[in-house]
This record gives sequence, structure tokens and C-alpha cells, in this order.
Amino acid sequence: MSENVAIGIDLGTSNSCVALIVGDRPRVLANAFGERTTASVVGFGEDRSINVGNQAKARVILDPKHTVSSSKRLIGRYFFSEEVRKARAISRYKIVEGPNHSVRIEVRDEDFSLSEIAAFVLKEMKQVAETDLGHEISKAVITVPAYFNDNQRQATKDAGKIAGLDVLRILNEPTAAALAYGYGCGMRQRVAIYDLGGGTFDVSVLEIGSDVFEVLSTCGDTFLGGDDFDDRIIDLLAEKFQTEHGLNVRTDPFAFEKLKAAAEKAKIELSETERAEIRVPALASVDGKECGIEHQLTRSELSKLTGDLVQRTFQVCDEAMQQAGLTVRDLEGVIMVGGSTRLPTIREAVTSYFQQEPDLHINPDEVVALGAAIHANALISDTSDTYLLDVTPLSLRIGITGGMTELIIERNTPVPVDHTRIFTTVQDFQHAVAVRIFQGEELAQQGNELLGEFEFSGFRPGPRGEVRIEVTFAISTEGIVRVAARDPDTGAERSVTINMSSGLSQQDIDSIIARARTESVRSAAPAPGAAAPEPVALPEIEGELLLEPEEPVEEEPPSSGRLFGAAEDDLSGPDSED
Amino acid sequence: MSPKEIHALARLLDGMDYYKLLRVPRDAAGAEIRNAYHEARRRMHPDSYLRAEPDVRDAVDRIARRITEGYTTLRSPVRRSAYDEKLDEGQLRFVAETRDAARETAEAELGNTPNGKKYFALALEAERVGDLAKAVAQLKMALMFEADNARFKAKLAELQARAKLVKAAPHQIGRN
Repeated sequence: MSENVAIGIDLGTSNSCVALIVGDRPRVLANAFGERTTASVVGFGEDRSINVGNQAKARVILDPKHTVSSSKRLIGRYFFSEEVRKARAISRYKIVEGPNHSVRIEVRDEDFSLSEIAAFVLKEMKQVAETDLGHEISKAVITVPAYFNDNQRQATKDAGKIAGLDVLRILNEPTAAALAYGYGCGMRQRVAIYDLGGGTFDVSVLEIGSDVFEVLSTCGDTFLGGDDFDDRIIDLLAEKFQTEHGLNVRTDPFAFEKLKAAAEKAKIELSETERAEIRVPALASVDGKECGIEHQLTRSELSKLTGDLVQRTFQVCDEAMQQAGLTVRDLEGVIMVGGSTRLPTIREAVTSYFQQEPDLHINPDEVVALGAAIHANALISDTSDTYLLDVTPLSLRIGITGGMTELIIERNTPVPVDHTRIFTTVQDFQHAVAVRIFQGEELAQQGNELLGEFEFSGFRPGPRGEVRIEVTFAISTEGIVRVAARDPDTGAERSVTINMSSGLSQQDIDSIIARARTESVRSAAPAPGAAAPEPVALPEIEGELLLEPEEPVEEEPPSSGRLFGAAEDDLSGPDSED
Repeated sequence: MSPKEIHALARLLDGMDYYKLLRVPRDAAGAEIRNAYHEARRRMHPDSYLRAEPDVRDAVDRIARRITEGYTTLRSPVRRSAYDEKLDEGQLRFVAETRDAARETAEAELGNTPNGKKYFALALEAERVGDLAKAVAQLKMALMFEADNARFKAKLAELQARAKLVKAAPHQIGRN
């Protein structure tokens, strides 16, 4: 029975949603509290209990150190990345560095990878579905923002595995939304999907035929989301409080969380009304006296506060339209996804940008999960009659000498795709090369996201420039990157699925799953014998790749061995000079 | 398709050109190529083989990757005409030309301002992947920072001339 059921899960920054095909229609499943979305918040109780959802969210104010929210912003990121730095500055829970520059959440003396945190949320969604159906479920489709890079996709997939799910497929959120809207129906239509979630923004342009959903382009900004709108309101309130009482409440965690909750509430109210009353009594004590804050926020004030954020989304839209080779006049529809698109100021701006009313008839909080459920069902039944043709959102690059990269697969190339290139060595009788893979749009390595790095050896050493190394890059339909290096002469081969930044190897994941199975409730100490994730040392870089044909270069190019000139940490290890 | 047919097709892959793979004639127009691509992907979509044996899935993946490779090449007039030339010489797959990294790094250093250098380098990159329109746009950006750079101007003129050539001779009628 359970074999024939597969759920669709929208794992959101702020809220998650699970849906299932019942009969021939997708249906959102409500949790035990009757809520159709569940807050993506994980609370760690003193008694080592774990809470997920709105109950946990309510504890953000009371117990911020042990309540993990908006963790999707951190998944698949490096510890030294800008996003993690930003999160560390405002986050009340402890974000620490794990092996391979990965990110860990330290809570109640235990370390969790971001995949494990996401797994708690996924387990909860799985539970919601199982309670509704009355039997176990293992198969699921999980959605990710279209603009997620390989690291983020891998980490999400790992989370599914840890949660005990058989992840049929990672699906892009906008593609899921298009499926839910059931565009097509015989007509060929072009639609734009404007997806403003809690933490990310992306826009995709699709051409939909009778049964083919072809993504023409996808562009995004992973640093922009509804949370940023909240931040603007928080800033306004904090400034007002400082003017009135001379105290900066931003540095007071308790007060900050209160402001955050009030800001979010006001923002939501403004979706319905022209003005929202913000009242936070006893925000902080000034000279021994409890002081609060009151403010009346109007729609137009919010528009002014956030106008530049909305404009930033349209820059991304410009890019997506240009990449698709279309203008807004070519579009037959505009779909809005993500809770943030409820804001009237955004709806108005979107209408004026696309010169048409966006389609809103499906709840923007649920549309992605519904689409995921439709696709999950198609994947397990033999009567699949929709074909999703997606693109890779980011260019794939390989690191070469001088801190530069070489473009391998350009962004918005249809997937699956592979590409083979021949590289050569830079030193005489070099016996290993470091293959570094990046995603992004910059020529310099520094401006791109490092996906991973592996050492390839076992080829026949020879004079520099004469050794041929064949590197094949493949991107799957899910956007997952695989790289293989091969010596065409000896046949020696090394192939890896790039997954560095979660810091979890397959062994680590297996041991987490095994641990979860043997312990119904987590015990205080790690299970005896459970393999602690061993930090994997990065390979010593013995030489760099160069393209052939090439001129001999100086022995030590000035920036050789440097991965991130400006980053706090340098992955290159022994080669770094400072 | 049966596993047997899929394996057979995967074996034939390296002997097929993109036209054969997509089942279109050499003079197919853009829309025809797109329809053929959709049709080919319907036949060979990894999603349809999720429950197949791993070796079948690998073969499906390989075929699907080659189909998108063919489509990506043929849908761009610039890439398509470059491919046709190679095809006439007997080369069945289109490989982006390898380049002399040292020379190009030297060329990328031609600008006098950081932004000039950056946009010039981006223009060269766009040129290399066959996106002339983007290359022109990037060069214009470079020129905004260095209006007098003679090398930039020459490159822009060259690219614009080539872009015109592509437009003037639409591929579909250019070939026999």
C-alpha cells in the first residue's frame, strides 16, 4: 500500500507544507493542530525533546538559544560565506564551524549539521502525512529554490535520507508551482514564476506545451526574501525606540525577538488592511523602568521602507527575461509563489512590471507542495504524462591557475548535460592535480561558490603540458553535479559526486540514520561505537590544472594555490601564505 | 522503450550526429528543432525510468544528456553553423573550442580599470560560448569605463560585424 503513495514536501525557509494526491487531485495535509503549513522551526527542549512547528516557533522569544529557525538560509553553505556571517550576527542559536568548513548548529552541547536540522522538519512533515493516512510513507519529492546550487541541493537530499525518506527527486519550486497551476492544457503558453520566499527570491520563465514544461531561464538572489522585509520594519522600530528612550534594543536578544515577531505580524496584517497597529509593551527596561513601543505602520510606509528590495527582484526579472530571449509582452501568465507575495505592495509592483495581473488563485503558501505532490504521484505511477525540462541555474566552472576559472557549462543550459574537457599539468612530472569545481558567474574563483575539490592522481607523470587529463562534468535533471577525471592513456579514473559543504559523507549519513534508528529518543551521549564524523583533510595541492594547448608558465604563479583571497579561511592549506 | 532498445541506442550514440539523434533534417528550422527536442525528451526522460535497473538508468541518462547537448548546439545559430562545419569534416559532437588560457589571461589584462578589465573578460567569455549579443553588451559596458580603449573598440567592431553576418544569413537557408 505505502509503495503506491508518494508525498510532495515544500521545505520552506519559514514554513513547510506537505501534500498528497488523493483520487486525482492534490490535497494539502494539515498537521495535528489543523494548520496547513508548519513553521520550519526546530526547538530543543531541556528534557532533550525535539519540537517542530508553530509550538517551537512560539519559543523563539522565550528560548532563542535552543530554537533554530530560518535554517534553510544556511543549508549547503560554507562557514565563511557571507550568508553564514550574516546569520551569525543576528542569530540567537549558536552557529559553529564543522569539518570541511561546514556549518554546525550547537545546541544543548550537541552539534547538528544543517541537513540534520532540516531532517527534523522533514520528519515532522512525514509524520503529518502518516497521521493523516494511517500508515507509513517513505517516498517523497522535496522542492528547493530553483536558484539553489549543487551544495544546497545535495544537503537537502541528505536531509531527506536522514529523515528516513526515499527522495524520488529534488524538484525546483517554480516548476512545481507551474505544475500545480496546470498550465498547458493543449495550448503553448509562456509564463513567468515570481517566487519570493522567506529567505530567497527567484524567477523562472517557462514555456509550457501540452505535456512539456520547458524552463527557458532561471535567475535568482539567494540573499533576498521576506525576512529582509521584516528586518526593515525591525530597523524602523528599533530606531524609533532609540530616539525615544536612547537605548539600542537590537543588541538585546529578547527584545530583538519581540520586535521580529511584531514586525512579521504587522507585515501580515498589511496584506489585509491599510494600516497595522504595532504595540510591544515592556520591550526593554530603561533606567529600571519598562518601556514599550507603539507605531502605526501604513502600507505606503512599508512600500517606502522596502521599495529598493522590490526593485532588486525586478533586476533579477530583467535578467531572466533577457536570458529567455523574451519581453514581458511575450508572456501569457505570471504566477506568484511564496508567502511574501501576499504583500499588496509586491502585487502592485509585479502587476506593473509584467503589465498583467498575476495569477493568484492557488494559495501561494501551498502551491509548491501541491505541485510536488503531482510530480511525486507521476513518478510512482507508470502513467507519467508530464515532462519537466529544467535548466542549470548557475554556470559550472573549474579552477585554473592564477585564481581564475574556466567556464564549463553555462547557466540556463538544459539539463541533464555533460561536458568533457582536456586539461594538462603545470609542472614537470607532477603526479597529482587538484580539481576544483565552482558554480557562479564570475571569472575569478573568489566570486563563485566552491562546490568541491578533489585530487586526481594515478595518471602517467610526464613533462608539464604533455600529460592529458580528461575531465567530464555532468549535471543531472535534479541539478546535481558529478565530476570525473580520467587519464585517457592509462584509463585511471576518479569520479565524485561533489558534496563538500554539508561536511557529511555517505558514511556520516549512514551513521546518523543508524543512530536515529537505534535511539527512539536521542540520548545525552553519542551512541557508543557510532562513528564520529572524521574531518576529511583537504588534499594537498600539488599542482593546478591548465588548459591545453598552453605555454609553459612560471613555477609559482603569484596567486597559485589561493582559493578565496578575501575569505577568512583558506582552503588551500599548506600553500597559503597568510 | 525496452531496456534492450535503450542499451542499443546508448551504444549507437557515439556514431550519431545531432540531427540524427533529434530526428530532424539538416535544414530544420528553429521551431522544428525545439519540437523534436521535446519529442526526444518525452521518449527519453530520466523521470520515466526512476524504477528501472541502474544500468538502464545510466543509459537513459547518457542518451538524455546527449539529446540536450544536441539541442543546446542546434538552437543557437552561431553554435549550429560552427557545428555544421565540423560535421562536414566528420566530427559528430560539438566541443567548445579549447583556448589558450595564457594568451587570454594576457588579453583580459588589457583594460586599464578594474571594471574595464572585468567586462572585457566577460565579453571574451561570452564570445567563446557563441553568445555574440551578450559579448557585444559586455564590451559596451567595458567601453563605458574606458571610452578610449582602442583594443575594446576594435573588438566591438569585430563582434558587431560577426553578429550582423549571423543575422543576415539565417542558418536554415544558408545550407543545402
